[in-house]
Amino acid sequence: MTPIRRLRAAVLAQFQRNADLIAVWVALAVAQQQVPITHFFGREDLLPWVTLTLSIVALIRGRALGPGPHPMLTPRIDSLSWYMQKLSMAVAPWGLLLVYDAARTLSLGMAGAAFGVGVLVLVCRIVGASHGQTAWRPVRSTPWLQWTFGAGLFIGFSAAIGLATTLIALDPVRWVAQSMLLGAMFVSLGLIGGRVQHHQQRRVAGLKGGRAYRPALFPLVLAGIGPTLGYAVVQFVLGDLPFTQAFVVSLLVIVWGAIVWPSPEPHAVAVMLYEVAPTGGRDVLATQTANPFDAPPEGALRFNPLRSQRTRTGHPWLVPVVGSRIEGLDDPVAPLWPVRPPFRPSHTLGDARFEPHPLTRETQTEVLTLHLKSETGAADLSGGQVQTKRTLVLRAFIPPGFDSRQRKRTYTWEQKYARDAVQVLDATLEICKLVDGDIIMMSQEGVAHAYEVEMCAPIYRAADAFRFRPAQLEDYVEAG
Amino acid sequence: MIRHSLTPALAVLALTACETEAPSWRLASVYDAAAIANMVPAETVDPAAAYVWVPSAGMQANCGPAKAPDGLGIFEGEAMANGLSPVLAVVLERHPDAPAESLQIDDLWVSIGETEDDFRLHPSVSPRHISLEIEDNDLARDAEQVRTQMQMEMCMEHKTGRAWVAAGEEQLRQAFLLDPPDRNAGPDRKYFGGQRDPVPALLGPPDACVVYDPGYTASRSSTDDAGRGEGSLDIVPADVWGATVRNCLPAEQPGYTVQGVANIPMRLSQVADDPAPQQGPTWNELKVALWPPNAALGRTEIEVSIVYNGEDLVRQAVEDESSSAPALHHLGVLGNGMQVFTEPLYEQSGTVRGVKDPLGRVPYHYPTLGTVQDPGRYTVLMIPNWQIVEGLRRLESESGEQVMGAAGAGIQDGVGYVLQHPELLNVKVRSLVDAQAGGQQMRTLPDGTEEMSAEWYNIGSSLRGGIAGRLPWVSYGYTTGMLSGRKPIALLGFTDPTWGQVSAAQRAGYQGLFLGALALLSVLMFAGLRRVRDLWTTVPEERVDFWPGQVPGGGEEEGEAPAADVPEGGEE
Repeated sequence: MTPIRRLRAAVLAQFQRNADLIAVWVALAVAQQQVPITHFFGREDLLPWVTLTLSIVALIRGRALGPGPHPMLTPRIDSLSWYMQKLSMAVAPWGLLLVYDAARTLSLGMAGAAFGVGVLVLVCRIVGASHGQTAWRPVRSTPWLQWTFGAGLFIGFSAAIGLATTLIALDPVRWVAQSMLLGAMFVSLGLIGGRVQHHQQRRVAGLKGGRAYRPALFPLVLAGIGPTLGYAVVQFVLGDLPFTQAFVVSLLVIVWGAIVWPSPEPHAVAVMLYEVAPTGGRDVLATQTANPFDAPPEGALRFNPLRSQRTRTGHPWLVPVVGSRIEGLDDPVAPLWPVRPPFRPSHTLGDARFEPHPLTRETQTEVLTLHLKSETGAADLSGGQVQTKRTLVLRAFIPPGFDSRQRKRTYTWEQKYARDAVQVLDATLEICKLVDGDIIMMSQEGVAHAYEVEMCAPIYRAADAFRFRPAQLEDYVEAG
Repeated sequence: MIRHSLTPALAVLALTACETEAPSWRLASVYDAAAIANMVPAETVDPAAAYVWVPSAGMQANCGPAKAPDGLGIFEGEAMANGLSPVLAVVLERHPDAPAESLQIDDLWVSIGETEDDFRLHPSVSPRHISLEIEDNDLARDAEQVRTQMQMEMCMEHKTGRAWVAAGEEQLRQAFLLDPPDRNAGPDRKYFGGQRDPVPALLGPPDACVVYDPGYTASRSSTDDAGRGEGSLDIVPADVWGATVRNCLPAEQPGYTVQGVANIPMRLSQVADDPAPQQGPTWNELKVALWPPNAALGRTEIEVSIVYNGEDLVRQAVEDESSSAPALHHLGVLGNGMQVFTEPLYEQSGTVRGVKDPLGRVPYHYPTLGTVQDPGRYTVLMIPNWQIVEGLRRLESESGEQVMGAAGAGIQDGVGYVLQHPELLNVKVRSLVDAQAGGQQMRTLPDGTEEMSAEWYNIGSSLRGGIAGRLPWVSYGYTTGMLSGRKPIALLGFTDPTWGQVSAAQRAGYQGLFLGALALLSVLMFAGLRRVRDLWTTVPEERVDFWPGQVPGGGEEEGEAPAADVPEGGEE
């Protein structure tokens, strides 16, 4: 069953991660029905539809394919510039398509339109230049030369394959040309969002250990070769697809968009612990005498996770996300100054982090793993007196993937609930897992506090995580 | 990475596996042509662009005036062309790899009903323009009998604008408006009273002529109106007793364009390729030869051969094993050296001995449209509303329920009803077996040759609901398949269908909504099923004695939380 469970978990994880792109695909499939047969988007070679899909993917996921600026530099954040950068990425493939069409049809009008799109891309890029800008410019040079060379390369490439389809009027040649055009679009998108300055920063900084920086070419190769091969296979297997089956090619673009630009993995997730108070559940005292052992005790408060309400007190808790990767290998660039130690995600209960999914080893932010401290126990002997304390996690509903089998009961009057519905944090428990909506109850000498766990926004930049206020011990104990 | 790469590959494989189209024809669109045609704003409609039925002057002179059905004043095709009555339009698309053959009446069975006892509908057909030549072979008396019979039939087509298809006496009387509408129950038809059994309407006035025969005088005095229906409003059999067909003019030869008549214009919506212009009507050659008895050849009675545009229709009936195939046939050689099949000219039906109907063998074709590369790619079936209403009434009647009401009651818009209940519609096409789908089946013909066998496919089954051909009660409404949403439509008239009309006819908006709703529903269903156990799960509780802090409300009612308490060691 493990491979099946692993496959199921992997599929679900991919669906969840790429829900935005899946929604785009469905929206395109819906819109596809409405495109007039003579409309530009409805062209039978499907390239406009492919380009439209890629533009939307670029708006949602598109980002530079390089490693970005030196991680120790704080990039400038500018919303308008960010939008303009996205716009330039979304528009750029249309320029290549028009160049291809101009060469294919030897049309000056198309060439003029391609020039217009190129100007638009340039304007967007210039207006959006400030977003992501970093302070360090290690090499005094102007990037125009590199940009001009890159633009000329892609324009020439698109024109060449367009001409090839005209000169060699064979279906396989056209299929290969269209596939290569798609690959060129992917690569151009990845490059247009980058900066020459970032490359220079990393080159000058070098790698850890004094090694020279070598740019990673794999993302570019993947972005270029992957969609090209994928589209070529589709065309060679299925032939010329009519526009009624444009959802096939849009799916192809969506899939490769998800591969080339995977959803970013957060560095940390903000978790809020809301203090909650019970809103009901008090037992009515029936008698003044002690109950027998086979009868449920009365006179206490039965705290129910669903019968609680938040107070106005909340405690932020920044929990790091741990991937299956080795951090040092991800970005081995040499630091520019001594590195600040990472924040400590410690909780009074133990060390907290979002660990990779046990089956897929993919990064996840839904289950918080708490490695409990050894002193977390049921009783504390200090000062010659015994203090009883009890900490547990109540879970109203069992999410998929948790143990929902019935827990063994000690007494007949105990509730029948699932094993993972209650986690008693005692000396025997080493790992506690928290999900959204869990209630942490801490009682000491009969005085209880309860905290509701809420998984909040993920934090994608390490710099933002450093600014977060670490959790304080007094946030959780001795509230009065 | 491999997992990522596998996803599109699996999608491609799944889509490839869906390519199982067996018949040569497939359904492209089904819609109400009148409703779609009338989508155009009224102020943009040019009244002068309406189609007017103008019969052939030659037929008018020799057969008498054409007469529209009682109380309507226009011909059936004219009503359809101008959107005056609902019209069920069914567009069939021929598979690009299928042989370029047009569909004839015998190749198609359009019906409504859910069982085998369905009610056959007769879509409209293109009119025939026949240049008739009779080779009597010294059988002048029999030839005259054949000629007279065929002239009467051609004149009836001209007078009523309806196709002459082989049928019984009652059906023919109904088809050619010779009986008053429902003689016992009074008129109960909103349209085209006097009809019962469906008969194909002609999409344009027919024309016919007889190749000059020295022994035959076709022209009559223009003032001699007797037997041509000049004086009567209603049609009676005597209206065609004196009818004749004129001699063919030099320009009325096979393949030449017919002058003076125009078929009802039909326009195909825009397709990816260049649309082919609609072809005007041309003359067709019909050669009927009589064959005297010849004991040496085994021919014991007078026989007849029928050749239409060079095709031996008797041979075709024999080879197709159609119901009209003669039980006995012989071979003969025409003057041009063509070897033909002959069949007995006379047949005995009960106590009546009559001449067979050679015109009944001449095929009708459904109108075709297409592109320059493939002019006959789309076959358009136009079914007038009254046929469907009649069928629905009969279906209701046979089920034991009350018969649908008469005029003004019951279902009047049969086309709309069928579109709402597409599971009722059957479109069966006789098509060659696709070698990819079902394996190529060969059969031996009477002359020893082999050809692929033909099978009937109900290509209208895609309109039915169900899942993978099962669970027929699961109805999705109109679905010719989501992939057919951009197939063209055809409308009668002079203007090209707009994309708005195509979109409405193909329900593009509804299909988009369906897809979006299906996706949303799938997500909700999946998410809901994963958490459905939450409905009966037991929520755990924990007992505590004291609770610090102020509790909202502070009530002491049963079931409420206890009032604030001070923990041990705390300050009051």
